[in-house]
Amino acid sequence: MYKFFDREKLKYCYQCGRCSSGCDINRLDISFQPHRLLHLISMGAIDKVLKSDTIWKCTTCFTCSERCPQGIKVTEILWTARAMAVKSNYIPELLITQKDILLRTGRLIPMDNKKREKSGLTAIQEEPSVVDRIFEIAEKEK
Amino acid sequence: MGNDIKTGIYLCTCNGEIDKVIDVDSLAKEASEWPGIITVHKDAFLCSDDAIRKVREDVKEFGLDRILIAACSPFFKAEEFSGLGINKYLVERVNIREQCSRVHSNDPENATKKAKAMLRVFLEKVKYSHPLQLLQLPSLRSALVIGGGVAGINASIDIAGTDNEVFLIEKNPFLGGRVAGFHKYFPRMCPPSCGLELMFSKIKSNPNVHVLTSSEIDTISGSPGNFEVLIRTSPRYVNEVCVLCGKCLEVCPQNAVVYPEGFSYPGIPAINRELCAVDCNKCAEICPVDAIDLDEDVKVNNIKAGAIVLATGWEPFDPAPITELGYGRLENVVTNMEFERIAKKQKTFFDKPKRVAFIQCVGSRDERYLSYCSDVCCMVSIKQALFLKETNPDNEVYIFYNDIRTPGEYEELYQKARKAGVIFIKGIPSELKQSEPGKISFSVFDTVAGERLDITTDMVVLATGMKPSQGTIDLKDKIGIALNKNNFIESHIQCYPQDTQRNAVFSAGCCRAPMDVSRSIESAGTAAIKTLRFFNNCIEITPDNPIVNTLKCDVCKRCIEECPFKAYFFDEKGFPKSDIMKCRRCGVCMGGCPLAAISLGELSIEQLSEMIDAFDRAYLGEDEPVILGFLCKNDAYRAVDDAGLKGIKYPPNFLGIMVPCAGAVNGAIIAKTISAGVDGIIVAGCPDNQCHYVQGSRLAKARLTDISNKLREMYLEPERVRFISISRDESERFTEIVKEYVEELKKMGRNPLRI
Repeated sequence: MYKFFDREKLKYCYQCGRCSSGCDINRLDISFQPHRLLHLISMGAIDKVLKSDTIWKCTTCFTCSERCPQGIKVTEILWTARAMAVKSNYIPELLITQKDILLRTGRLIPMDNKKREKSGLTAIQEEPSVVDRIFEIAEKEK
Repeated sequence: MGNDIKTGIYLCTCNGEIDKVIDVDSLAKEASEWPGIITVHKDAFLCSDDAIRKVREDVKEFGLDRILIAACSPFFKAEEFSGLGINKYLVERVNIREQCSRVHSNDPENATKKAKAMLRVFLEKVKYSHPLQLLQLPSLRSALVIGGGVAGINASIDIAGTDNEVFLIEKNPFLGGRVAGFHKYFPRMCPPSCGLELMFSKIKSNPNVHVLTSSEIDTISGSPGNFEVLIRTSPRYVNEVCVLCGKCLEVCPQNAVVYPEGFSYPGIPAINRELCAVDCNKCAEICPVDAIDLDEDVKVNNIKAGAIVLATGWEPFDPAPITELGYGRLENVVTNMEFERIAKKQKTFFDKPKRVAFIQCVGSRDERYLSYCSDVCCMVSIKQALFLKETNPDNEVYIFYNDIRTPGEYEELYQKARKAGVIFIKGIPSELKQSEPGKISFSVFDTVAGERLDITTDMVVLATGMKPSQGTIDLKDKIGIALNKNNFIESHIQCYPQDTQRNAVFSAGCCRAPMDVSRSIESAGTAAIKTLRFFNNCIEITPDNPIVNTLKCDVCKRCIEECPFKAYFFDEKGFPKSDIMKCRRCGVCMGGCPLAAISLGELSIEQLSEMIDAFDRAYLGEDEPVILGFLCKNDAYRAVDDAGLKGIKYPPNFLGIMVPCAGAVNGAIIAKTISAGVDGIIVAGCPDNQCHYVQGSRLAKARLTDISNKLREMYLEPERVRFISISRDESERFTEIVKEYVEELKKMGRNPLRI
């Protein structure tokens, strides 16, 4: 996995900014600038990148990787950065909450029967063992 | 060859420089007792006129056949020692100054021993040398220039100006190449009509230039001085009688008449028969002077030339594969070449103020398309931006760039553009969209401002780069030149940029690398001058090219494969033979031959083998390891000489032999050296990308690795054979390597084959 973090390859980046120009997330949130993240990593400021919450904004649409003239795998690098961030325990608050919800309910958005009622939908019975069952199946498939 | 050869040995003391370390007297005494030595003479200044006179007298008096000169490096005083009254190939130099006395001054006893061993080795070399006489080969006073663009035209003018004949071949019906299609060219913003018209008038007025348009090369044979070229000329269908009345143009229903522009050369139309309607004869019927003949045939001309200049030019990169930029799909997204035509012919487009964006580096500096910088696009965009500003100062011009590269005085253009109000933005748009008919909108991240910019323009110009023309690629095999990884013509870019890998074939202009008009013209001049030395009516050449021993050769074709200059061909008996004119005497074939059947004129396999036989591997005593070095002439030998000049000490266990290239050392010679009991072998060549013979050094390295592996299989230490890359200025590194190697060999112990 860490092969994408090869700083030698990153040195080929000449900061043309095609990645940021074509980035849909950058359109919505100017703070997410792939070219800047690449620059920081190649300069050795990896810690700064891992601590920043911008790496979590990428939707991994691969547009940047596809258009990079130097063939740098931008998305994969950001991916790796996320994995490294988790290993170094730099996880944004929101993500931890989301993880907890997922582990507890098996869903990212918890069930809300009141809202369903308002929309005229029937209530769904929460099945508390669903997460355990998922882990059971996963264990078997291993 | 036996001992009936009369050899004279001449020892120089260099006025104490040598004999303060080496006991020259004992050397002379011992040498005089060797068989076949007629005279041994010692002199303080062997290079002085008196000493040379003495040698010449000796040659007459004793009838000497061979002369061995033990003095300084063969790179010094070469002139003096070449006129000794016998063929210079029968004179051998022993480098006892730079490679012995100066580097072993701390150990006079062993230095004398080494000098003796050197003398013995080189005595064998000179004994088995052959006299070679200069040959005179006929050479034609004519050149073939392929490509009628700005480079080809200028090369032709320059060659013709020296009173030599030139055949200028152009594929298209008109001369002028890509430049003819420009609106203006930088830095002076002249219209091409001005520059080209002047060039054409020079061609017209010079009877030495023969222009063949609509022509292509069929075959090229022969060798430098005498190329034979078959040229296929497609019909033009219009002859010189034409009075340019323009009637053909009017009647043609298919637009098949290519009409000359004001300054075009030749100034008569051509008919593109591919566009013609079947059985249409309208143009020929209407022509008032009967200049049109639609039944004209292809002509094949046979011409002879002494040298060739390739000026096959470039092609614009087609940006269609970069789909996100929408070239070919979106209206008003054009390339810079198309913009030239718009600027030239559709000026009305800019009547109203427009907003135009230039996108730099489209396809260039891109690993997927052109991995190099195309050299001109920055200046081209600036030129076009200036044109827009001059046409109408209200035109809004944006240039989106990675890096603006305006080297040298072109910086002035950049300044001018900034002053004119052209807006430069660092950041490249990733995607173009059509927002409304005729309008292009895109969003770009300005990496300097850290802001996103949304912009709608009337036109987007893609600054596409240059790629090598198909013509260059097609000619590759016809001429036998090498192309680099980008398909431009390969050359020693630093020292001999205009030389191709074939003798008497030169390149001019963009077929070698992307360049602008002024550099193209410069390179054309250089190429033209380079051809001149082949126009002497005769070429003097020494037949020291490699000779294949046909008794041994089993026609494996390895020499043909490995020759960096494609100098080998099959002779009438079916054996490989090196072309005396194409060969550059690197000896890569000699080193590669599996049967050791190839010998250079200057250094034969026989000589090397006898030298190894004569090499006393115990010259420093039984317990000291000895290293034999094969040093490449261009870099390694000179680096070792440098160690001598600087007086950097290294152990006397190393003895060097000069070879033309590391690639000239045959595996059989290495094997022989090992089995002769030599403890270590160094083959020293240039660093890989600096090899003067393209691949000699690389091949040598590969071959030595094979030999090392074989040694391992034989339970011998693979480290006994070593390849090192030594650059010309790395004498210190060389001495370090020798010191280390001697220590290593001491630990390793004696070569078990040393008896």
